[in-house]
Amino acid sequence: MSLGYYFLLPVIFSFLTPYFKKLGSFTLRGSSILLSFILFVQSIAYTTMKLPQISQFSIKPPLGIAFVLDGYSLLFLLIFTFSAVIVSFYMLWYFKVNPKRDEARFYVFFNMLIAGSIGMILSCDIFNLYIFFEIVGICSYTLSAYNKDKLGLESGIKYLIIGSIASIFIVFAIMLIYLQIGTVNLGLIAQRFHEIDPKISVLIVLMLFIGFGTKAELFPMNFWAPDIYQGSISSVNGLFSSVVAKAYLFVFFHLFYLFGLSSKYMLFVMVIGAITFLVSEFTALNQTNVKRLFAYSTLGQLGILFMALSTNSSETVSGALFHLTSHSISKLLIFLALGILIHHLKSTKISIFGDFKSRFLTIIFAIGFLSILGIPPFSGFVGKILILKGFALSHNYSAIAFILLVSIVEAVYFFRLTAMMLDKKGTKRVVHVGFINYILLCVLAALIVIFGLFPSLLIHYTDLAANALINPTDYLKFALGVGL
Amino acid sequence: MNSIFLLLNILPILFLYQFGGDLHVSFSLTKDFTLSLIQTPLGTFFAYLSLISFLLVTVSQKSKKLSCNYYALQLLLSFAMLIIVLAGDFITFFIGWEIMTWSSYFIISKSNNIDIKSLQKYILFSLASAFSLIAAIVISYSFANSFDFATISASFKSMPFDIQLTLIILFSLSFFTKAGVIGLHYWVVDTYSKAPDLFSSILSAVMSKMGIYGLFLIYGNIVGYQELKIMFGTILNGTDFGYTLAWIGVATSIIATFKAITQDEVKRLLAYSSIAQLGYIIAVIGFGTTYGVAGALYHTLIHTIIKLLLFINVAAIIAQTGKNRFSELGGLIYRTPVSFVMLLIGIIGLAGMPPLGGFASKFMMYNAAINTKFALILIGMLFSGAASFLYCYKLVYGIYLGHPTSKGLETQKEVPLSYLIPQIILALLLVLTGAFPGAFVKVINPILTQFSLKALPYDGVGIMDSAVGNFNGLFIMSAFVAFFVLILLLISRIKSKAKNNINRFDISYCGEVPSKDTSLHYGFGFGTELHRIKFVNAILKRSTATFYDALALQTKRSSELLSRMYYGNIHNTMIIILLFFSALFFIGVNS
Repeated sequence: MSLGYYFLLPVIFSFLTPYFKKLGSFTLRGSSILLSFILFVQSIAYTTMKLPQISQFSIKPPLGIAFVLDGYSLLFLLIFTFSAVIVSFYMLWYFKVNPKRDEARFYVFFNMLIAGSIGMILSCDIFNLYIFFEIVGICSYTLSAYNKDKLGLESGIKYLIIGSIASIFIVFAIMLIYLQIGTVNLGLIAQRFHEIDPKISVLIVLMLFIGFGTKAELFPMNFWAPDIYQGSISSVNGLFSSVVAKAYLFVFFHLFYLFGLSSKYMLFVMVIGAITFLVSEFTALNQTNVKRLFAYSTLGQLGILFMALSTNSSETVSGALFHLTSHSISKLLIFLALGILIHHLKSTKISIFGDFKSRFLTIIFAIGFLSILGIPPFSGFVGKILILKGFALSHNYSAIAFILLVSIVEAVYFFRLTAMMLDKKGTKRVVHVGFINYILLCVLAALIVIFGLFPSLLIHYTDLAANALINPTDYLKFALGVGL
Repeated sequence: MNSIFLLLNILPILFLYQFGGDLHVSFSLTKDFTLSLIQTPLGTFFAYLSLISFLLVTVSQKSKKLSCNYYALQLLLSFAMLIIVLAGDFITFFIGWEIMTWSSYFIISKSNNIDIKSLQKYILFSLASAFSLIAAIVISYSFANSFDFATISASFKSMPFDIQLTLIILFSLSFFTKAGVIGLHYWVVDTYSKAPDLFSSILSAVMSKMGIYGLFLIYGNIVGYQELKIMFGTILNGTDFGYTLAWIGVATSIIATFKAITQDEVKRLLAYSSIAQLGYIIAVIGFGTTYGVAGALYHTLIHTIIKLLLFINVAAIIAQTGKNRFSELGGLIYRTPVSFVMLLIGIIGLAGMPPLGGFASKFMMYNAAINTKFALILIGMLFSGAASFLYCYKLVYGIYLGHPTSKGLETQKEVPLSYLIPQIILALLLVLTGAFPGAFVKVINPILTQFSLKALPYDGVGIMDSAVGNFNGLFIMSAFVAFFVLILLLISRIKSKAKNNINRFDISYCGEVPSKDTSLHYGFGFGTELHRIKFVNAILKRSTATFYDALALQTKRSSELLSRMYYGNIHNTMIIILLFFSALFFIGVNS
């Protein structure tokens, strides 16, 4: 399937959703599953093709607009579409136990969110990138306000305001780039970025940093994030954590490496990532709301990823991408299992971990926690050791010490939850997981274990992605339309 | 259930025996990581030690109705330890180490009297140990470009001195935490005392030995005792490094011994005793001499045997009576005589008295200290050895002698056979290691060769050689047995006039009638008098808990402080973003 159709498919499904609704809820739910399944299978099919792939619309780039798929975007495509499959199956259970919810409203924005995220990682001109950025943003605002209660609406409006501020910065940056170079094609911008007056280029980089950094939940700009997580439903939390945040992170580093920024910027991003990690993990210790707790944990993991991705060494970047994949799977697992727990216990207090009785969920949570903490034989371990190894090879020992020390803080709250689950005292309520969730959680847990035991399955793709990210020569060739 | 897992525990022993010393497997995880298992003499020694311990504990678990999960986790733990001791590279070692951490965590969480705080203590210290280990591993990788033991060992000499020192400190910290060196022992006592009773024996006898294995691996294999001597220089007849380590070990053993004496809970006493005994091992492990290594290895073996024996014994008593404090026990000698004899053998070994194996190992360690002329260390070890008599005495006295302090104790029955069989085997082992200390020389010598140290001379199975004189275990044992039999015959001639089965409240003194709460056990409160000795009191009233509690409090406070930033006011967030942008812009344009 050509990349253009690949992107258009979820858009079409999204617009058709109201008609599907008329055909009955079975069609509605089935269509979403079918869509995500097609997208996932097609993204697997892309792995067998020669990369990069390009799809141009009528005019050849750099003048026309095009989609380019290289190793870096392929990895994210796999993660996003896989998460979409899992979430669309999970929604079957969700709408079964919450029959009065407006299903169409969810699916319209869900499909559109997937479309926007795909567009964001495929687009090779910065203005289209901005459009997809806005699409993802608008879908996120509405999805976070899916619960029409006080918290939900609060999170929706907060997200809207913050998202608009971020887009203002990005629009200004794009405007400045266009004024200076006269193009919006990423290839041309990358080629001629160094020609810009350094003072202007600092401004551009800073504006992009603030814009994407706000959305990717970097430290001084992430005060809004936990509120959003708190107000929205668990499956949307899973999407935010494993798709939306990762899509912004993708763009952040894609532009970062395309523009060939100097090592000063890299050090800066690394420090900001480290601060994000430190602050989030310490703040998470003090939380009484589970959703907020895992939101902070997500922020912390994003901090590690920012630290590791800004190193410009293919080893560390590959490790970071492995960690990113493993974190996406683990967080999806945790948020989906959390949704089941919250549904049965009707509370989002942290004490619900001590109030349920289900051996299956206990094991699932334990696997998720151990994987995020980077404990073997789960997939998080491989990612973390690859990152640490990369830092060691560049003799950056302070980063190693920092990551390990803060990880102990992280372990405090993860193991507090584990101990609460394992505690035998108190009255416990039996939680029935449900057949679909049982399968879904088993698949996710199995993936965590498989990637932990046989990491070479995934490392192949992360290496490919890391090389494509750090050496974007192939990407540039296609983005410039050379040899088409 | 028990028999299936018993069988599953025997299998790895047979497997290891089958390979007979040249197991060499490797498995490629990714292109950078190759997991490999290589059998070394040192690893084989520890592998048999842990596997046999697991087997014996599983035997004693027969009378407990344990779930399949429990056994499976225990099997996983045993498997993880096997991975640790057979690992040929650090990634394998670390994977084994972490699986050991979490599988034991889940077993401990199954205990009935565990609380969240103790579980947190255990896992956080274990993780801190693991993280310090992984830090050392990746740092050594950055110089050696490999995780392989052999490669890292070869390139260790070419590393800068500060890196060498950092590596040694990080590795040591990690393994010290597992072995429970004083200061890092905060988790040990709570965990040992609150874990499932039989599992405490594994924790103390086997898991702490993984720390000792790690120390041997680092000092003997990776760094090498010769290299340590070059790095740090020598003092007296030993190395500076060994001297420092010896002080750490001796301090651990003295402090823990005094703490042990004052404990009222049986398993807490054993936990402190475990810390103290490992202190001896750590004291001699760094000497880098034949006798030092031999003493450490011998004591590792003996301590494993003794702690298994004592913890199983105590677990049986706790299971039988439901009481776990000295102030609630007492007078069980008539009710459970076999258990009493087993415990007696155990504490004779623990106190390091001849003719049992405990003496042979202590003899070896004292020998090592004499050999290196570390006189102060020797005095410290002797001092703590003498003090350990007190807690040994408390152990046997508090449980088996004196008056029963609780009501139900008069009608206790002997503990089940499944508890006694492992104890009898272990007691026999203790007797055998005492009688034939020479047999162990053959086990140690390949390990000494592995560390490129001089081998011990072998003068027959009953004799242990040393620089200051020989110890003929067989002769002493025979003399002791003959003497013992003689006394036994003499005593059996005297008819006892004491009547048994007197109600403990059938007494009155000075016109006072004891109430039910009055403890009639005149060993009650044993150890409190130690507070009167100024030097001991100074040790006893200090605790690392103060430090760690303060650390936890500070973490909590900083967490509260930081979480104030996230109170969700969107205006402030906007202002912060704008300010952040302007600050960055100002810095960016001006630089």
